This record gives sequence, structure tokens and C-alpha cells, in this order.
Amino acid sequence: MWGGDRLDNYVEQLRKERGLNQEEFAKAIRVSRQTVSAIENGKYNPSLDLAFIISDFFGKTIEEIFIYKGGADK
Amino acid sequence: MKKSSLCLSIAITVVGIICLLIAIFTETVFDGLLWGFTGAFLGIGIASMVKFFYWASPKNGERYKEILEQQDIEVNDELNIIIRDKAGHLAYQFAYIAIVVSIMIFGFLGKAGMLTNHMIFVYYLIGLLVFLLITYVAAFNHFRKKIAG
Repeated sequence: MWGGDRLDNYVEQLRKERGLNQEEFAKAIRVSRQTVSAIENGKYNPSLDLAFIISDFFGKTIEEIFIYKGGADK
Repeated sequence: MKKSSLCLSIAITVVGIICLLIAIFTETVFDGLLWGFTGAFLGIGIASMVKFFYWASPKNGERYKEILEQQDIEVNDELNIIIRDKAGHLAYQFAYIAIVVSIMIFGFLGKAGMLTNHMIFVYYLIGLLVFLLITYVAAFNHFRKKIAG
């Protein structure tokens, strides 16, 4: 529900490349700093909406930032 | 800050003053209640007015905008929304359990003769339980219909 082990992301790496701290990045994409932290730590998977906002912010596609590791629950 | 906030603050203060006047000039069984209302309405009304004038001053304008923006982010943050929903659901479940336990306790105390008119409490709690259940089911069906059609 919160996150899952099936999704990796490069949000932290991309954020650091742009010289932003979590607070600044959170403000730019209009979420709380805790949400950014949870996404970066893999504790929370963002909604599709937010995933698009993040990919838009970094000028990349969703697939370039969020990596699906596969393996749906049975 | 919005002018409507000031109007609301003034209205609340006026209600507080009315309660105060009624409490002073009349003598009823509701005196205690009226004094309570007076304190609450005057306190909230005056505090809101002070807050309005503080944030309405030009030197605090920029900071107020920032605070509002941050509040907006916190309220609409998707993780916060999920956490709020989960917390609400958990609170609902605990409330349900607490009511069932209370019904059992009141029933037991009544039967043991330690409480008179215990059935009033029991019926009230059963009513509350049914109300909670109906509200939950109705809200669930409403949202499912709205989202899934």
C-alpha cells in the first residue's frame, strides 16, 4: 500500500544532481518534504499524477526515473 | 488575510458578548453553560481578530503568503491524505470496539445493580453503533458509485 519492493527510483540522484535539498525539491513539486523522503527511501510509491510531475520536473520520462522490478503478487 | 475572516471573528466575539450579557443579567440553570460559551466565543473571537491584524500588516504579508502556501501543500500532500485516511479508518475501528465494550460494561453494571437507568446508555450506544455502520456503508457505496460508476 505505502510502497513496495517492486519499484526503484532515481529521484534522490537526480535531485542531488540539480543541487537541490529535499525541502526545495518538495516545494517545487508541491508536496511535503516527508513525501520526498519517503519516495527516495522506497517507502512510498507516488501516484501516477505525482510520478508525471516528478518526471516533468527532471525533463525525463517516468520509465527513466521509476524502474519496475517486476513480479506481481500472486 | 481575507476580510471574511475578520467578519467571522467579529461575529464570534459578538456572540460571546451576548452570552456574557445573558449570563450577567439573568439567572437560569444554564448560567454555567453560558459562562462557558462566553469564555469560548470571546477567546476564539478575540484571538482571531488579533491574528487577523497581525497577518494583515504589510510587513508580515510575504511571510503569511509562505505560510499559506506551506499549509496548502501539507493539506493536499498525497502521502498526508493516505495517512489521514488510514488513521481515520483505524480510529473508526477503535471507536467501534470501544462502543461494543462500553455496551458490555454498562450492561454488566446495570445487571449488577451498580448503575440505575443503564438501559438509556445501552440504547444510546447501540444507536450510535448502528449510525456508524450505516454511515460507513453509505459513504463507501457513495464513493464507489462516484469513482467506479
